[in-house]
Amino acid sequence: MCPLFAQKYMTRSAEVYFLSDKEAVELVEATNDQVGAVVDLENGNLAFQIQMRAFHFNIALMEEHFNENYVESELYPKATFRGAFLDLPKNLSTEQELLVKGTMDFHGIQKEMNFSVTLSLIDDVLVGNAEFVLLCSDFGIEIPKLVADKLANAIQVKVNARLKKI
Amino acid sequence: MKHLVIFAFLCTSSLVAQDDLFSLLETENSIQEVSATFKGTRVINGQSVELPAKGNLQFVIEHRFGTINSGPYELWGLDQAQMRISFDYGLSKNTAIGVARNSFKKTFEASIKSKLIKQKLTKGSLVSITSYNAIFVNSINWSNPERENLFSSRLSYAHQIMIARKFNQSLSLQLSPSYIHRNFVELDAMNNDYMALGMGARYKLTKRVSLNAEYFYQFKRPREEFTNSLSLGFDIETGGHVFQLHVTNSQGMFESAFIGETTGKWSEGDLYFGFNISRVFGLH
Repeated sequence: MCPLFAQKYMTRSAEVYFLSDKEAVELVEATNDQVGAVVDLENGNLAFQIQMRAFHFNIALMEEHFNENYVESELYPKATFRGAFLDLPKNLSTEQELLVKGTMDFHGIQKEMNFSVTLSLIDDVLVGNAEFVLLCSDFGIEIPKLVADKLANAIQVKVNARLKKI
Repeated sequence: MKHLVIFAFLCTSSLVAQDDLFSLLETENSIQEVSATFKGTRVINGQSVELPAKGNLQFVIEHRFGTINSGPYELWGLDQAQMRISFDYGLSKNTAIGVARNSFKKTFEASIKSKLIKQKLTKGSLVSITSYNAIFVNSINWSNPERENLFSSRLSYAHQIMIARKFNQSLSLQLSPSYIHRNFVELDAMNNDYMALGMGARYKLTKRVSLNAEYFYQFKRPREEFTNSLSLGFDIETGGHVFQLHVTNSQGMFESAFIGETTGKWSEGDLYFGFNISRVFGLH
């Protein structure tokens, strides 16, 4: 368990994409391609750090509302996820599906989460993909009644990361 | 032995594996600009540091009703109104152009607004600075059509620098040094050029409602019957629209009118209730 033999992988350009429920009238989608991620293959720990202001929307007004009225990015500038693989990743030369358990800290609220991640290690690049659903209501993000029929509470999140050995 | 000590030292550091992972990610945040110092491109009558986003067309319709002290026969001013319709378009991230029509003296206007400096969240500029330049053309019939009247007499100009700081999520303050030039003045006692200092404030009461105030102090006010413009109001945001409801002593809605030609007195209740409604259209 010594860091001399640690197998840490890192990136500062992982991509997080989110999309509100397609059923909703107002489709909300944004991409952040400056997400920091670290994975330690030795102990199975991983950490993500997301600057909220780096989410970019196609509609400028939507981006302003996202930051000002929903995620309050001046009060809560970043979201983090820290967790661990339930089983230590092995045989990553082929793509493996692994379960991750950890804590999402978003909008000032911490919540335990589990989701599955596909992981592979090819030419010293660790490639991970995950998809999960967040509920705005779980993280204290209020949707005003006036727009409640237009905006979805469930947000589909996709994460793509390519991490390099450090 | 020496190697062993180093080895042991390195091993203990892995006890804090999780925090260690985060410390790897810690870097200086990229320098980010503050957003939404004001909700609208106007504080109330005067310009704010904001401008429409690139590729967005902003349509604003504004009304100022008659004076509140005109009594029940006029339904406290609601029976009549001055109005203004404007279109502003974001040419680039930092430049917008606009055209408008005001019923006050049947005035057309064209303007250009440029973001010069943006306040940063972490280090960098403490304020945002925006410039605003506008030309106004009144199109009312000449009062003495028999004499020689020049088109240039219809023109007036406004040049402003808005300096604003968003202190926190709720409070933003702005100073707007302003210079107005009128080619033609009706009375000898009026000046062609005058300077004013605008002061604007916004305080957010909830995420979508803010209280706004604005005052324009005129240096060397030409005549006593002209007063300084003072306005108080609320911004209410409903998704795609911003509603601004206010009470002001100015009936004109463009700079050379409300800075130089305001006559209402708060002390006598010569106040106008009014609103601005803005809607943004993305033209990508």
